[in-house]
Amino acid sequence: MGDEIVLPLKNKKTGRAVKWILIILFWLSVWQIAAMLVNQPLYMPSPAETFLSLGALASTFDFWLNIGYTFYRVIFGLVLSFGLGIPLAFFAFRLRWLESLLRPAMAAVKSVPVMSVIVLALVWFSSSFVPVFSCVLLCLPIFYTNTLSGLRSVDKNLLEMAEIFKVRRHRVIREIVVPSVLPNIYSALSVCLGFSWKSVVAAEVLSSPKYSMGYQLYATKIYLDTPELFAWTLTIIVISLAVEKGLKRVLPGGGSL
Amino acid sequence: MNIRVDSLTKAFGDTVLFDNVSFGIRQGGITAFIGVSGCGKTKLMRIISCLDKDFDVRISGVPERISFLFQEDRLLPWYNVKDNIAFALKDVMDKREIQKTVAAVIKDVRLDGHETKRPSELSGGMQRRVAMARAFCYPSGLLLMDEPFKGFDAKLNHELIALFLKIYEGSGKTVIIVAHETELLKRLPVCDVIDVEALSRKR
Repeated sequence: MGDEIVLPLKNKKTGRAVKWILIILFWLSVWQIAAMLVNQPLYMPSPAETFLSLGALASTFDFWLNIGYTFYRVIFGLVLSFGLGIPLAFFAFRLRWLESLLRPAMAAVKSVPVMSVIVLALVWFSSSFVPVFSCVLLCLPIFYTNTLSGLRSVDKNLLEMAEIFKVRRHRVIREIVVPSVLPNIYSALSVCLGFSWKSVVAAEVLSSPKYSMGYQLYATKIYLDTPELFAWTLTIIVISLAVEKGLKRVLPGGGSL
Repeated sequence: MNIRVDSLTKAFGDTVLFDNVSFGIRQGGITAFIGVSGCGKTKLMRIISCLDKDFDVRISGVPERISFLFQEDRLLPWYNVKDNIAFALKDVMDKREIQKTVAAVIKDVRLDGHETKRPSELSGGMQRRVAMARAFCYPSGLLLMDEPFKGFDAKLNHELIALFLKIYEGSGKTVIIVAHETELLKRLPVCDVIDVEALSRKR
């Protein structure tokens, strides 16, 4: 009695992998059954048809070029939103008038339909920049508001403690303010990662830049190539998940992402 | 040099909290502020430490560096014990000195073995000891303590007081302590007791 079974770490890891494989298999079979019931590839291609189509696509150079361009737009849009939204929040926190000035703009941008933004951007910019612009308009307010609310919730007691010990300003920012705001920035990033892919691809469908995943989606509609539509969608999901997982690894304390 | 607080006046609307109050604090000794809660003991500490500046007052003799043991621990949750203590020292000492000071004070408050733990991994009493260590090893001439041992059971209270006495002895620091419990006042070598309640009622 009293024997404890200690599972080695390796077993735990394999257990988790098996669990995920089972989950994926379950959904694949749901998909397969649905496809068999519909029995009409135009409406609902089976997993096999989709993967065949994906294989055919992946063997072309254009496939990777399209991914590359869309990826570049997503990253560009995210970096712009991040690089503008966070400093803007810092300034707005320091300057009350700026915060008041920005508040209606941020509220308006938040409730504007993505499609209005895209259509307007189509008039303003070249087709290649439209997706970036719509991504920024969607993500910037998220970074801004999250950072601002993070700044507001910095523990005043800790700031006072630092004041007593005459801790220098740059250290207060680095060692108290930034760690307090970081969780908010991460949660904004986590929301924006999903949003950026959706908005960029949606804008690409309408603005149809030469190389883009969105344009390829649009083309599948013209040619009624549903398996290819599924293949592209699957690609988008996989890449966006991969980016999220990658960021989680890279960022310090990014586990909360 | 002794600390002097002269002609302190503060009113909130119609209620006068302090009206032309003056008192002194003896250097190198322990001065206790007593009085019912809400009579302005904490306020007085905050005025002396310049955390509250919205008062009419002349203060002299306050050393340039002050440490404050707040009622709350006010530890940085993302730092471990060592870094929390070092946080107060980084602008006043070089690296090697910090290392030595932190190691010594951690031993003093009997936290050795817990150096790399974060506050969330420590008990309430241990967190209090980290805050105490931080306030104590900061090279200041004046240490303010706002009900430092409140909220712990009798045994822990006893331990914390003993610990404080051990590190206080021979430190030469001027200490102002806000205290409720007579037990605490009995055990500390208090040289002056200032009844803040009486001060604030004085018109």
